Amino acid sequence: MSALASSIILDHVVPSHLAGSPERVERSDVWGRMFSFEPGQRYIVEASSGAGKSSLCSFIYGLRTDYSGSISVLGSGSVASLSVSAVCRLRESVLGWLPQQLGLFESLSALDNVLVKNRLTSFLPLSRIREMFECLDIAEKLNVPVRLLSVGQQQRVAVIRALAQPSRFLILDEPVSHLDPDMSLRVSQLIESSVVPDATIIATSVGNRLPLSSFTLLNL
Amino acid sequence: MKPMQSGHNPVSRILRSHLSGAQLVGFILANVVGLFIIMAAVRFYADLNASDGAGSSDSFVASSDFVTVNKRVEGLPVFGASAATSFSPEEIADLESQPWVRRLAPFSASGFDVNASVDMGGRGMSTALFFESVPDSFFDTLPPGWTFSPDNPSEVPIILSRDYLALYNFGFAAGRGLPQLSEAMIGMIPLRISLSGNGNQTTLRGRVVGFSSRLNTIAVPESFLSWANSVFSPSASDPAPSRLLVEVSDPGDPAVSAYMSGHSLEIGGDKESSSRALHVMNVITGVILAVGAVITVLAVVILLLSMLLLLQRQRRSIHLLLSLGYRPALLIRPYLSTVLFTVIISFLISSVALLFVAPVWQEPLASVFSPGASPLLPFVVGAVISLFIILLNALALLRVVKSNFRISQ
Repeated sequence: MSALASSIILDHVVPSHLAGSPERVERSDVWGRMFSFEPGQRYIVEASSGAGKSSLCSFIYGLRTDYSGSISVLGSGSVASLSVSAVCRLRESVLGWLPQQLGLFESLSALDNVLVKNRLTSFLPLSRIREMFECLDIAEKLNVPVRLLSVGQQQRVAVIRALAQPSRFLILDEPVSHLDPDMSLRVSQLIESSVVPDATIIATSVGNRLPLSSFTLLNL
Repeated sequence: MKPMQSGHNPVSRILRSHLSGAQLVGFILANVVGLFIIMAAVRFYADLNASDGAGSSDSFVASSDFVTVNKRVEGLPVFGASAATSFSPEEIADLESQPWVRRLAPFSASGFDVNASVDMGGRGMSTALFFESVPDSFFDTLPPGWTFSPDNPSEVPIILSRDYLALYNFGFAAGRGLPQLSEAMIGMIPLRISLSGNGNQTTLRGRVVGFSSRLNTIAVPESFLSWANSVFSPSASDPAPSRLLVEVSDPGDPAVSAYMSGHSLEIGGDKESSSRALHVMNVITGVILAVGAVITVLAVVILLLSMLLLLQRQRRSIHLLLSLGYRPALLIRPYLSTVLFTVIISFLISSVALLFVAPVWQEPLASVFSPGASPLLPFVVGAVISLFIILLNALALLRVVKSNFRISQ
């Protein structure tokens, strides 16, 4: 019961777009079986494009419901049938989220983009946010509108925003796809040092893995 | 709700970025016009109808919707032919079935002899009287002491027509050198009421508990009259009623006077012509009210569409904010404060305009009627409409924002 209430449980989840290809579901470490993301673990979810990495992230995050089976977060019951406010509560504190498309507000400055999240959680002091910008080498971009930043710089802003809450599960959809190995390492270290103890990290990758110190590799 | 400062709150800066000032000004203009017309019409209606009947205050049968109906007395009087002026059950049923009749009750008459005497300063006076009664349910408020117990008959409460008092004071007393009496004094004079008939006779105390302009009679409680009729009346059955108290939906309705003249009936008390003028005015006010309502509805549609357009343009931002954990209720706040602001502004403008414009008709109206309407009513109506507009917008906004919550497949 305690394991159930502290993990994300995927109960025979099969995305609708894979319903017609049982051999791909058969190959997968996650789809179509009982699978759970355990507290304190690091997972790298790897697959070729189109295998459903972003789908997996969106399913867990309650954004999409186009799958069979059910997903439960911390014993919440099926995420797909939770009320709007219950999902909002999960997103506000339990689930951290870095979407592949980054989801930044282009007209806002880099700092304001982080503050949009931090206003909701009041998790990071402003000094810590500045420190994180420095750590990822974008301190001078703090007040620059995001649309003027390079994709790599935007990705780092999105990473910092994802860390602006005490997530139990951090879902990172290709967090370092636009970063060089050195910067990827710094992002990885920043993440490891910023998450709450016992947090679970789920990062997807199409080859450019988040260089975590240790992790479980999952193939979709 | 505290308006969000766009400088410090990136969220409301994002959400308000496509706000169209022109659309909001358009809404405010339309809403001011609509709201002003509605509030002015309500004010006008209240002024009109408060003035009606203000001159003849009647604490018991206060509603001006009551009229007394009797048959016209025609030709030579023939004793024993009272049937010509009494109502048959069929006639009563026919009148009752008219659409403008809310309810009616016959005046019950006394079928026995009544004699009232009073001792005024050593000079005794006595007169033969009659009593009538109407059901207690026709009284808006029962006069104090309006009870009679047949088991212990001692005192009879009486309501007197104001006309009778005027006849006495200005016609009789003035010519005979008798004291003129105020309504309050009459209430303190003890009357000796002698009832006789059917071989029985008794004397009771009587007290005038009130005066009425609409009950053109000497009225006693129904319970007293039925008791007295059973004891003193020689005939077992009640006499056929010759007068009816009718509650009509609108005394000024032309259908009422058409029916009355068509059936040789008379309406007691001449409130008819002013009622008819009032009726016409009320119809006109109703039309104006409808025009105002239509304009207000259109204004609300403008506001609603403008807000929905804004949401449509902000779809991506709203979806992003929802995916960051913002609740729908939090996201509609900047829009709602805009709605709140524009609705309150237009309510204030309409209210101020009404304060300036109302005297235009109130002065001429005061020379015809005596005004005395509550000045708050139109503002209450305006405030309720404004509140409704705000609520409607809040619900619509919440609905649309929630529809952005999950990516539909």
